[in-house]
Amino acid sequence: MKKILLAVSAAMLVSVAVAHHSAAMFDHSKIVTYTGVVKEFQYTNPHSWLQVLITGPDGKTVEWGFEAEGPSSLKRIGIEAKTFKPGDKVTIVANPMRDGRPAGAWITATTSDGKVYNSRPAPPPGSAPPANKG
Amino acid sequence: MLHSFASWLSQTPASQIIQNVLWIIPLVQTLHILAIAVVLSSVAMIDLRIFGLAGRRATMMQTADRYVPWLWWGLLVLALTGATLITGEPVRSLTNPAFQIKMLLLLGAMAVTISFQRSVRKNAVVWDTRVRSSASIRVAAVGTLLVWFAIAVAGRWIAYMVLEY
Amino acid sequence: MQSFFEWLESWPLSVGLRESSWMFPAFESVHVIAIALVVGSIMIVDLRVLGLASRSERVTELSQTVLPWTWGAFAVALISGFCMFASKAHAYFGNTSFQIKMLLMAAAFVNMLAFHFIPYRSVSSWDEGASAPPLARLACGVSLTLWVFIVVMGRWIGFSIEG
Repeated sequence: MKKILLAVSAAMLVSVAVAHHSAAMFDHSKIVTYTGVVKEFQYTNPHSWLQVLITGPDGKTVEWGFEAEGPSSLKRIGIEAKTFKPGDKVTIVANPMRDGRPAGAWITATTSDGKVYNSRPAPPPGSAPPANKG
Repeated sequence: MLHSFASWLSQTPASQIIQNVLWIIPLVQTLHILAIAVVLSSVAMIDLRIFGLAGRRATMMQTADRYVPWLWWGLLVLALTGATLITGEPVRSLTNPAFQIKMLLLLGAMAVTISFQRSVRKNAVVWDTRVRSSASIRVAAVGTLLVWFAIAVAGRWIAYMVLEY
Repeated sequence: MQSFFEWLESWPLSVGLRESSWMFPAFESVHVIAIALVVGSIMIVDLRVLGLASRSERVTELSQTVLPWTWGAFAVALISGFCMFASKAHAYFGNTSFQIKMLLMAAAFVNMLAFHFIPYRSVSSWDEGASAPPLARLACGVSLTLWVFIVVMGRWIGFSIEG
């Protein structure tokens, strides 16, 4: 019985470690702010993605993806599919991805009329943002 | 009051560790799911015995003695892993309607389990001779399993009914 | 492959799963309950062969009464899983945890076949008591380990799915 428990625990730790590397992990200690143009708002389960075209200081335009919760959660804080339309100007505050890919965890998105959309209520100061996205 | 307790809990070192060591929550959730497998299957095996579909050579008491301990050990693992998940995200869990419904249903399911254990011990002969023809027992058996399913559903819905973080 | 994924994603059910506020959680809930019953029932049979539980039951009787339910639950898990897959086929197909999960399930399938066609053939001689041959015990130990890995990978899909 003990040998089985040991093998099973080892299996779990190994697989979690392996899975960790491939996860869409965001660096919660960093915050980036970008202004760009909405390309598409994928208002979908299990996670929504706001695709934004951002032009860097070098003149190159990169498509960034900002992840938020699915429609069930977003509807409750007032974000609908039509809240972000292609062509809308938007300023995003997000946690970037650890591996440098153009994606981030959406914290706030501000539309051109000045409305600020948190993808979740702000956490109390000094505490880490939620680790549980699933 | 619940909210101030949850806020206080989120500032404790234990909570901070669970939030910041990123593999803890997925690992603990996995253990939680495996314990759900043990609990649901134990309840299902008792129900299969009640319906005369499995373990027919054993008496009802023998079946209960075999599976009920797994049920309670499974619940212990669920309580420990659950407490860890709550400690990691106290506001997200405790203020969550799906979580609250889940806890209420759980109290109900545990009450039924205790009642079943007592009944089997007191009325062993009745359980072994009349149970298959007793419609009310069979309805209760299916109903209890559905309550356990509802608990699992409520658990999944926690992620979708977050009111506050 | 790309156009196959696009076709799956265009199904009305796929659209519903992506955009509805309740359908995806509903399918997920069914999937989790089905998986719990698959893994739990497999554990019951595996622990019996390993001689760690239900020793007073015959191996054949236990597996013949439990395994049909395992298959039934598996069918539900497969259908609900496939529907969720179809809703964002390209994203799930490219997800490492999903890929590993599918490989592990293929391994579990092969392991099950090996168990049934090799050591299980002689089950009448070890049907009672805790005397299963080493190969039978190995297959059941492998089965338990694989299914634990499968649950881990399945949970991780939720944390790592993109797009």
